[in-house]
Amino acid sequence: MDFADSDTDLAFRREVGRWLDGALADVPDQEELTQDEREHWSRVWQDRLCAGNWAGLSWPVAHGGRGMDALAQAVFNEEAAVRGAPYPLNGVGMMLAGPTIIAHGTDAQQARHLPGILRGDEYWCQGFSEPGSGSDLASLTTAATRVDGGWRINGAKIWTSNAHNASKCLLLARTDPDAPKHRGITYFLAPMDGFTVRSLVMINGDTEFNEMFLDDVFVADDDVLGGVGNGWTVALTTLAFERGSMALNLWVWARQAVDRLIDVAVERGVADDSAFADAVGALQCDAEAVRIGSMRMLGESRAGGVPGPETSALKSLWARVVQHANRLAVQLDEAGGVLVDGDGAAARMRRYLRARAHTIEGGTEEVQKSILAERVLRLPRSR
Amino acid sequence: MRATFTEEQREIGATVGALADADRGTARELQSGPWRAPAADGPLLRDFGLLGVPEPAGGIGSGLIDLLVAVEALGGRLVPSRFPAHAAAVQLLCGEERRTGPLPDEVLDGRRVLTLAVDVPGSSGWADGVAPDPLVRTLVPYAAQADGVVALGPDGVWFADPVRTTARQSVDPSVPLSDLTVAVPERTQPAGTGPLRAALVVAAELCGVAQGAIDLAAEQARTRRQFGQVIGAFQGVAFPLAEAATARKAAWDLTLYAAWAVDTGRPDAGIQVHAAKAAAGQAAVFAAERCIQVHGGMGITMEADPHLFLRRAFVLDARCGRGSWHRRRTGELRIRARRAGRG
Repeated sequence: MDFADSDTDLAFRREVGRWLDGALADVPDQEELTQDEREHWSRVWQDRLCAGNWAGLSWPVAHGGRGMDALAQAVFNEEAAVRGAPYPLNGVGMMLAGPTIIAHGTDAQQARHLPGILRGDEYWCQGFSEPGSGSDLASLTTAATRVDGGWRINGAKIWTSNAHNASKCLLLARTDPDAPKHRGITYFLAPMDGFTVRSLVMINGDTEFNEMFLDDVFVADDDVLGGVGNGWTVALTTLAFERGSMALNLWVWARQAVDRLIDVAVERGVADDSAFADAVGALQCDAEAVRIGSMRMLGESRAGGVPGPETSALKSLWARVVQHANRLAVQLDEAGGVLVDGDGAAARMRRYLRARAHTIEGGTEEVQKSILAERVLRLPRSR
Repeated sequence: MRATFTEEQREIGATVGALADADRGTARELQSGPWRAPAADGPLLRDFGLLGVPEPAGGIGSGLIDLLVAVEALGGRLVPSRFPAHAAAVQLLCGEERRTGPLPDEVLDGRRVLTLAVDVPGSSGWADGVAPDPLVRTLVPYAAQADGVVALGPDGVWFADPVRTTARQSVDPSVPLSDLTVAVPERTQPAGTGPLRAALVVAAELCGVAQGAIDLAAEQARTRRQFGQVIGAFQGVAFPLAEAATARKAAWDLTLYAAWAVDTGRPDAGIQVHAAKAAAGQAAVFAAERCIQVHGGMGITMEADPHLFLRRAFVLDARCGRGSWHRRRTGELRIRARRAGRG
């Protein structure tokens, strides 16, 4: 077992690193910015990725991409995260919509959508979750009924990041209410004309995500992706791309959370306390386990295997590290975190509150544990 | 391929696993009466002594991970063999490759069985931090059953001459433990990464113990029925086992990576080993406790097996520096590195 980068990987990392260092030179630390400022930089960053020909990094050359494997995208995202780069405003387009359309789309769909994503002028969002369908995604009830030339869609979507910036939506809707729940779903590449988008305020004050209301929205037959009734399969492809593209970011975020915690402790003069060392020791174990586990997952993928249910363990560990580190950082504040009129204290509280989402978004902690129980421990379904 | 087991490593795991399977009941048998060698003891010492031994020390190019894979397989079945302690003692001697020289043939082929004397009474860390050396060591496994003792002190490692051996009552009677008073060494050799290497052998066995406890607990959760269904269908039963599996995976990944870091001379080898040893001890104790819980009333009886995992987990968590000490060292080194990095 060898954990060293291959020469090819190293060369790619260096190329990516050189470009990132130049492109990030004038980009401020995102952690210190307001939501509006961060969104501004996300847009700037998206434009730079497109101009630098990075938007289609793992897309085939025939579709205007660089023809690298999906892991190259993960490595790029990792190097960007290490440098604190903004999140690209069309991440859903580049890393989810594009690859899913390449995998399941018709020639016409590919011609219609892919160039806009590469140019950076067609922004996407992901309309999967619903108010009544969170962990149990396949129970979704947004209804698509047949009309001349297409479908009329009614329902509501929720937790939709970036819907307020997007013009296209990866939309799941039920086209056959009588079929078993996984079978009656269809995946649409929906133009967002007629969507009503309402922003949701997160507990930390940010407005990253939205509710979307669809009232008699028309989507044409041409915009069905992967065939009527095949939506669940296509959705699983998207979710796999989502996991894959983030695969190497988790450990970076975990390490950065521990770094920030130590910086606060140094500032407050408690970094030499043995109780603090104990806490950091425990965090370091989990944070490193995420990094090493991610490397092993990458290795298995390269060797031709499919990342197994162990990825649920990594997600779980990552969430715990970031939540715990952010909680400790807040508690080190003079007033235990309750006075948030200073910039530093406010930012720490904002991060702590944001981290509460980590055990909910991208598969709740309970879902991760169920996956481990069923697929690693071979216990019966408990839900 | 990067970060995957080699074919040889898979084979080592399978071969040692098969040997260990034949000894599944021996840890229970050795809960009372004097220690006897389990069936695997001889073959392990004879045929696997070169695993993880660097070439300058007489090895044949096998890396530390090879050895850890073997020891993990033994831990999973609680095999009460002298092999892991012998291998850890050998590793303790292998920390300074250029100055070690080849180890005696009779050590490498298992005719001379070693044990290690690392932990100092009243101190939670290992002996290189204690000066002046009290020349007393505790938690020495198989002292009466070994032919030689490798000790760690502030000045290095050496073949120690026991002046007095006091058998102690081990919480896991299948692993006899003694206090040892040793003579002042005539000369020592630099320990180098020896203590790190030895600690990883212990960490690997702990990962095995954790896995064994999880397997046993999962088996119980799949078969024991209450309220009309198997208890594994209850999230209150299933989720703690998922946590145990997560902790065990984290510990094993940390252990493998730390071994690679030691073998390749990386500067972060120290913190990686401390993290691995801390995580492995915690994972094993947690898994064994959950295993007892899942077994309900039977879990708290001597006749059921779960307590055997807990006993072994405790003995190993304390060996080569307690888990809590390794955790604190991990934190201290992490804080120091961050401060240095920030100038």
